[in-house]
Amino acid sequence: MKSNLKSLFAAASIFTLLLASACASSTSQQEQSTTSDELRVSPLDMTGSSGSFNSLSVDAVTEDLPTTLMVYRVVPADVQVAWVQERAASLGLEGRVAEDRDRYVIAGQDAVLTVEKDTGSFDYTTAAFEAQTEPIKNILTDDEYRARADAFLTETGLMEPQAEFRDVNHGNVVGVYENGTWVEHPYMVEVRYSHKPLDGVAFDQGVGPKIIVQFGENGEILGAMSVWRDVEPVKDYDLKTLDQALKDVCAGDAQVFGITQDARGTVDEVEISYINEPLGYNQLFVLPSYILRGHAADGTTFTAVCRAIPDDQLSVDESLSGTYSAPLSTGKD
Amino acid sequence: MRVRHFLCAITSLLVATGVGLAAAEPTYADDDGSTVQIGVEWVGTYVGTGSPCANYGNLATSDDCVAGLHDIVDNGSTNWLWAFNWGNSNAWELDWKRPASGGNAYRLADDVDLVAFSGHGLGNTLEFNNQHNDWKSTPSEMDLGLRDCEWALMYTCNFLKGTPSTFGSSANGVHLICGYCTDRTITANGGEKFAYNAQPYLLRQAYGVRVAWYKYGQATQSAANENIARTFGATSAVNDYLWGYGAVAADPPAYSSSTAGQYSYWDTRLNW
Repeated sequence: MKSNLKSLFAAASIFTLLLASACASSTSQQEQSTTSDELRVSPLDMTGSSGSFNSLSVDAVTEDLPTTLMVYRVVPADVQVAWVQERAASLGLEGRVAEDRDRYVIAGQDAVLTVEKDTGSFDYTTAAFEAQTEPIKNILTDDEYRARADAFLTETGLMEPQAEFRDVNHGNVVGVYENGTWVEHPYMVEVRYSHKPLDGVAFDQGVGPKIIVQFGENGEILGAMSVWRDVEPVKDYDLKTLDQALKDVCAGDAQVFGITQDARGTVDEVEISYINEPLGYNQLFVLPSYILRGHAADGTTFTAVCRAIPDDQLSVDESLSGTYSAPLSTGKD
Repeated sequence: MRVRHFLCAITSLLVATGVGLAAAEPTYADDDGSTVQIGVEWVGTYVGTGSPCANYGNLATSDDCVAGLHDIVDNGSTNWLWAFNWGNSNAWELDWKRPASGGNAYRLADDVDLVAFSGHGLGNTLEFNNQHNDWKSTPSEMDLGLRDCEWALMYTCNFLKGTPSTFGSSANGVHLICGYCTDRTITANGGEKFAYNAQPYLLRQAYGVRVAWYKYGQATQSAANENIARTFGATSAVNDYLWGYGAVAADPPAYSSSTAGQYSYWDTRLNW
């Protein structure tokens, strides 16, 4: 009997040890998971005429809005010298690739290619780009511009698999004074690509993501550039409610365009989009944001961009957008 | 003048060695100043100051935005100097006002080659948070270029809204004014991005002021709302480079209805 009790005690002890060990392991994994799930984000940039709302109401269909959405992690680009050389060769650029901590650069007599190491975003600029300052005399059809841009990006390997055609931009204009009045003419045409939606949700209302091919006279390619980040899913997060988003916008916790102060606004359209941040920001996560478009009582239209992830899930870190300092002047008179 | 001759030599050296893109003509200094300088002003705090802009909120990154221009001074290959950096209550409307109207621009905004402002702008204005002597500066009160200024960077909304008939009066010899004719966002790296583009980088030659502004806009501005970067100035100066990095046009005549034909503006649509 004693022997049986001893055996039972030993078994119970082992079970307890295993259980404790399992709990410890579980706790450890949970801590690790919590740490890795912390959403470090840069402060929200404000507009140079950020308006403010006295009240904000909604006159839009909102019942289909999701209550949870995936948050994506930015995947650092793995750009190697050979990749840059290959693209450069397809652009007719040969020679040494210079690099520093941030970028690769290869330059020829008439063009230069720069590639950001962190994101893979590129900038290809020809000498003709700088010279193109006057109205284009021979503008091609949009289909022709698009066909040329598609071919250029495909042949040079600069097209991203997740990119999709967005538009032909005729909004780059030069204003000239003709016969006593100011007249605008396109001086550069751009074919622009945005990012495909992420699981059905737009990813296009921030700084891109975008790829642009620039055209000058007679459809000549002047250059191309991108603001791009590759992403991978992290996990689903609960979203703040639309009501909370409206409160945040009224409290100034949003990027607001096109509104005066103390406005009474009506939201006519509610959209959710993932947001890409400026090039040079160390963006770690791509979050969904509410995009609220509407009008004020005085008829002006506005757009408000409000992060859709609740604030208590975010850790705002100023260092991610970079801080810059310069000597301050003193003794003002 | 001696400094600028040195800058000419640097530019000539770059051209002679065939470095980078778009070999530029040597720089020839004009005679409206003896040194090559940057001056910046910024306003980040509006709330609680009594400013008419108080309800528009603070701009936490205003100071960072223009401080990034110091990279131009840090570049040891030229002799750019940091003339002033006045922020918040020390940034005054008087600093931008023409002397004929009692302003101090002759020793501040117009006494440097490159001047920049970061803060709120409500439509052809620079908005301050104090009254020395006014809350805001408007184009009609400016005479940029009368003394020295070649280039102005307006990191604010709507300063170039409308047509030159509205904002052209600010130009009295200034070569280019870079800004926006719509809303835009104040990003921490606004000045740094302009400086990066306006200077040589590794094997790349510097871009001109207008192109540097285009590239800064493309890299930092949101597509969510109408967002148009605009460069306004003398057509002859369209491809001006910062001193030391390429050709600089002669000072243009003051903008007026009779000289409007010598001016243009170039827009970049940054939204979809």
